[in-house]
Amino acid sequence: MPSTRSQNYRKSNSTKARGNFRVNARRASAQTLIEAMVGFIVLIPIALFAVDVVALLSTAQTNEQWAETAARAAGSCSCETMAQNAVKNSLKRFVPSSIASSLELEKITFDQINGQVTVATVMQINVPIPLPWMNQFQLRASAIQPLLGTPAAQ
Amino acid sequence: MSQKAPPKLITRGLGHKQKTRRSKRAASLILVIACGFGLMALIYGLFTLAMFLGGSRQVRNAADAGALNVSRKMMDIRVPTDPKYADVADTNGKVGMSNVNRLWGKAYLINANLEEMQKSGQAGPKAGGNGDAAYQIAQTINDNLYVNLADSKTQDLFFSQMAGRRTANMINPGMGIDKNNKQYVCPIAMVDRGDESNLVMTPGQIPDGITAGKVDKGSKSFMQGYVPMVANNKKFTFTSFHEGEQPHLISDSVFDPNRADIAPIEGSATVIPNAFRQSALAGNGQIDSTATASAVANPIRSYSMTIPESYITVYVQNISNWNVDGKKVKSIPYETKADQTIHGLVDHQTPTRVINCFGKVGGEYASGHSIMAIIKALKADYQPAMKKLLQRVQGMDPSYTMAKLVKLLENQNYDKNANRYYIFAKDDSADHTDPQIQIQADNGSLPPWIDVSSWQQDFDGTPKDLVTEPTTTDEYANAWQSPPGTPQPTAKNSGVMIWQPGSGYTKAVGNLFISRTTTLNFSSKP
Repeated sequence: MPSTRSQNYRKSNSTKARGNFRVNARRASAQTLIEAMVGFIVLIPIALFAVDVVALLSTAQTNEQWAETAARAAGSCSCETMAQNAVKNSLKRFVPSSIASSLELEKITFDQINGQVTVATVMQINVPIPLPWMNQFQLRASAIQPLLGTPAAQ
Repeated sequence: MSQKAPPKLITRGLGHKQKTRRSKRAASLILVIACGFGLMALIYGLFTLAMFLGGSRQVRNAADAGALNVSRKMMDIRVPTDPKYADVADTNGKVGMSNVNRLWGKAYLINANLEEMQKSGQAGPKAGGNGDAAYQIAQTINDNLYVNLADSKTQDLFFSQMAGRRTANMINPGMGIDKNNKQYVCPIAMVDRGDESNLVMTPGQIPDGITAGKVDKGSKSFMQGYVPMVANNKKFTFTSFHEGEQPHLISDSVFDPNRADIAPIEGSATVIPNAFRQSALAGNGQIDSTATASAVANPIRSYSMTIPESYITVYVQNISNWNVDGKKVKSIPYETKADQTIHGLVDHQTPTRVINCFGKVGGEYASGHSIMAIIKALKADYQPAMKKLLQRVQGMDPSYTMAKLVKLLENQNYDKNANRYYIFAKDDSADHTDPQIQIQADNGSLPPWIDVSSWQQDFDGTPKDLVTEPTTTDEYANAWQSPPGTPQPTAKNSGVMIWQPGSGYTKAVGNLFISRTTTLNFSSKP
């Protein structure tokens, strides 16, 4: 008998304990879920912002390189008209994408006295993850190159 | 004991579960925080790496632009020339990288002419000294230019003009790019060895027996670059500049094997380089980014190898010698025209009687009286004389041809009031790059740089017969006398062309002396 009572007691107690445990486990899972969700709410924007930053960084460098290429093309010309055409032809090779939507010549300064040419370009950027307050950026880059297409003085 | 044990067991069990639950809560929190930090660290790392890589590219671009600027601006470095080389200087009377080959071209032609004079035994007493002086003056001008070109301050200035106006924002915002002087590497090289220089030449302008290194490209021939050539026992080295090329970047694998310190040009320590290396540096105190670039220079301008202010003289002399009984009584010059009747000896008193002697001379000029006709009048192969003339004329204008020379000489008529005819290049351009070959009598309008009074002093060579005509009798001249004599009067005609070379150091490059002699023999015996 004592053994049966003891078994019943143990049984009833263990059932109660199991019930408590289930409640606690559910509470713990929810808490983890909440923690995770809160975590993701913080982390996801950071990650998305990082994606935008990477896109901006990458396109800024691309824009600089386009300006550099255009300036080199202009530098190999002997007059301003030719330089402008060379820059335009150079920038024609730009292929628009969903991120970098356009690339345009902003300014060209053909300084024959100092023997240098400066080319400035503007690139229109649509960030991959649009930010609520801005999703378009204009990136400017300029490059200076020596004029190599003019013959040495007589 | 058995009744107390289960609660303990449960309590222990609950405690364990609570501990586990706390651990899970902490693990999740830590995980989130760790992920957050990890993500941010990753983003920061990638950002820094991207910035560094972008900055490195900015430094590389700056080094490229700086090196290109140096190779371009080096053309602006000019040094004063010597009056002896003023005709190959630029419009400001200076010599730089673009026209240094022109300077050496003139020095080379002078010494090549001198070597030919020595080989033909026609070098005069001044010849050796003139060759040495021509070479030494050119070397001095070259050395002055070299010092300026190899000067690191000059290179730094040109580098900074371009690289200094750029920034490496991605490494150090707002900070410029500097010249990297931390490690010295010889910044000059002579690349494209054996290729063409910017000096156009014609093989015909090089005297016979002299070998010049040349590179044929299209229809043009250029003096070979960075291959020393010997003339008059002196070494001449021209700087290579590819035709039709702009200054451009070259790789280290091209620059390094041709560096001035690793592979100098034999026999010339101060040969003008054509490639320059520059190194850029940008740093933020923690990381330095350096980049090196090499560029080859090109003036995009070529010149002809010439002695612009030089001249040839043509001297024509027709002499009739009047002999009586084999003895010369008189010499009378005659004009270059056919059938001139001269009463050479009027009432000439001989031991036995008085005679009057007549001659009809100039029959050799029946075909005309231009300079070309005078040359052709010599009944011998006159081509050696024409070749000599053309070689020297091509020293003034390498594009000049034999056909043009013949036409030039045909268009110049003999002038009885002139002593000599000057063939020279009239050049109205400021830098003597547009020669127009002309012939002019010495009584005409000659350029101011021709000093007619110092004519003979200008030649450093000695005369030598070039073409000799066999003597003819009564073919181009006739003689008669009154009263008649025995034997019958005869008229003998002969001619010779004498070439007196000049090196060009004192402007004279040659004198063609055309001498025709008609000897009229008379007799005093009835």
